[in-house]
Amino acid sequence: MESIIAAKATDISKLERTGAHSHIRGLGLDDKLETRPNSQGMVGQLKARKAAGVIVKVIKQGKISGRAIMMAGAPGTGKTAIAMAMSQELGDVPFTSIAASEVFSLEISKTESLTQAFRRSIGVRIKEESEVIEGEVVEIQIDRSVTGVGPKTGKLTVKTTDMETIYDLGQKMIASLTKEKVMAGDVIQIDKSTGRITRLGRSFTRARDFDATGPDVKFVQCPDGELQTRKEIVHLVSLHEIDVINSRQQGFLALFSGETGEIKSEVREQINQKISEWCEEGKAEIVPGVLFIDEIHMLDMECFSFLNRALEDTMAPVVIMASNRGMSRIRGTNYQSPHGVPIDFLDRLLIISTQAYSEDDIRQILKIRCDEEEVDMTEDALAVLTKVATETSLRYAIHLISTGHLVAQKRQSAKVDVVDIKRVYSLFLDEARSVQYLKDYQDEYMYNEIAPSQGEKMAVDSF
Amino acid sequence: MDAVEYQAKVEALAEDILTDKQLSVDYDRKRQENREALRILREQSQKAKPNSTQSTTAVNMGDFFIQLPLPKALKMMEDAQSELDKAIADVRQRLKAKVKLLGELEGDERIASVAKAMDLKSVSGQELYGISRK
Repeated sequence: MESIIAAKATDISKLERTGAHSHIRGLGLDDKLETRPNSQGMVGQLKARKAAGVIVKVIKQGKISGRAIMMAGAPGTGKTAIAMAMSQELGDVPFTSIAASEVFSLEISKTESLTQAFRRSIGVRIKEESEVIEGEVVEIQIDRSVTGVGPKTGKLTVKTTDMETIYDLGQKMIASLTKEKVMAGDVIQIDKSTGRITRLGRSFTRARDFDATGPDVKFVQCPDGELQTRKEIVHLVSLHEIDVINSRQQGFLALFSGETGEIKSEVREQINQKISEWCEEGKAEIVPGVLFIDEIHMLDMECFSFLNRALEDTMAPVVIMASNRGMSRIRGTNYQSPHGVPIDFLDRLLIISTQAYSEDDIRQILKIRCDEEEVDMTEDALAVLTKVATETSLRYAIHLISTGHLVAQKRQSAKVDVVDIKRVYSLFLDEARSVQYLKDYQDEYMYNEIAPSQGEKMAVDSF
Repeated sequence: MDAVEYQAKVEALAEDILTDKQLSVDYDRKRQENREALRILREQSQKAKPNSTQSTTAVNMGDFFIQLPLPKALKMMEDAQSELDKAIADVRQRLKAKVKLLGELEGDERIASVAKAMDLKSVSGQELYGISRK
């Protein structure tokens, strides 16, 4: 009596985790910039979406730079969602997204952090070209002289589906070929200018040569066309990357490790000058992008003054900010200001305001999230969930979707029903109930600072 | 009629592009054969003693062979090689322009944008890495 337990191997590379905004594919506007009520993952919020659509169109034309837009609205009204949608719509344009708190770091100063964020959002398009020989190796023949000393000579026969030729090899090429362990049947690419050899894989026709091959062997088709082609590759790098590469010796390593440190302003000026020269010569093209700063009220006065100045630069990206504060204190000062942002800074911004969602909007958003998280829900459960969302908050209701799904699986049901929603509603508290619970049982919490009722005296007061 | 004309133009252009691609393959094949011949000739001319039978070579001119002194044959091959290089460069240039035109005609944004980007002049790695080092 043997039971065979079959293990299912899951392909990790295909596992997609659903994030809070992963259902958004675009702004959901038609060609005339009119908003469709429920499209591309966006629901409701018609005015804000239309304004965002206008901004995206202006950005795509590439003619404006250094504009700042503020999205202001209560929490849970779709500010970050619209920013995500804009990034999807822009496509090729560089889109950098940071939270204002990231600006504060022990390693680099605030202005350096902001400058890096700005320069990360400006792209430069450059082209790299090289002559390459690409083909399948038919035969490698390396001769050593009889005496054992002296240079090796060799011949390399390469072919494509259209032609075949023999190359005489020099010392260095022989050394590279031996190092790369190139064999007959490999498909290789030789860069003529650098002499570098890249193995692209083994040819399909030679797949049967060996019965067992190692794990890394890739089988590719024999290349067709010419043996010697010119490859031209277009790269879109950001100004920040060019800064880092040029900031010190082996600067490209810093790109990968992320420890860029402070970059001198002389380096930046040299780079700006070089890039403008290249633009004039037709060697490069500047692609201004978008910088999205979330929670802008976390920046302090120094950052705001810096931003004032930075936005007036010729090579400044479009900055989109989001704030959910009303009249509140500017960080680091005692001044009250709308949205937590100084008034002179507010003056430079185009403000898009977002409104709270209607019940019907909420219902549609929940339906979209159910589809995104692959959860099947009955109509009644959806109605109950919508009610919950209107009374508590949209985010809380979205959390209940996947948890409700798990509870439904436990009772062997494919669809989430009202009883599941009720169960998770009782299991997980929303903000209002949590606060109520806190007030009722405040004495039992540690370090409780809410003042006790008048009659009681604290132990400390008796001194 | 406009649609038919447009379609005819697109098809003619596509046919043109395919012919050019085939042309560059043929040129490359010729170039490789030329290069092999050049190498053998060079080796032979290094080893040859002047005024011996080895100092001439027979060159195939289509239907017949002509016996030529080595230096002359070498020069002929080298000229042919540089002409082929030039011809290939020309074909590539024309090909890029035609693909760009096709992208615009068909309204395929991706091809059109890539073709436009290809018009940039190339930048080498040393240039990019060496901006701050004057």
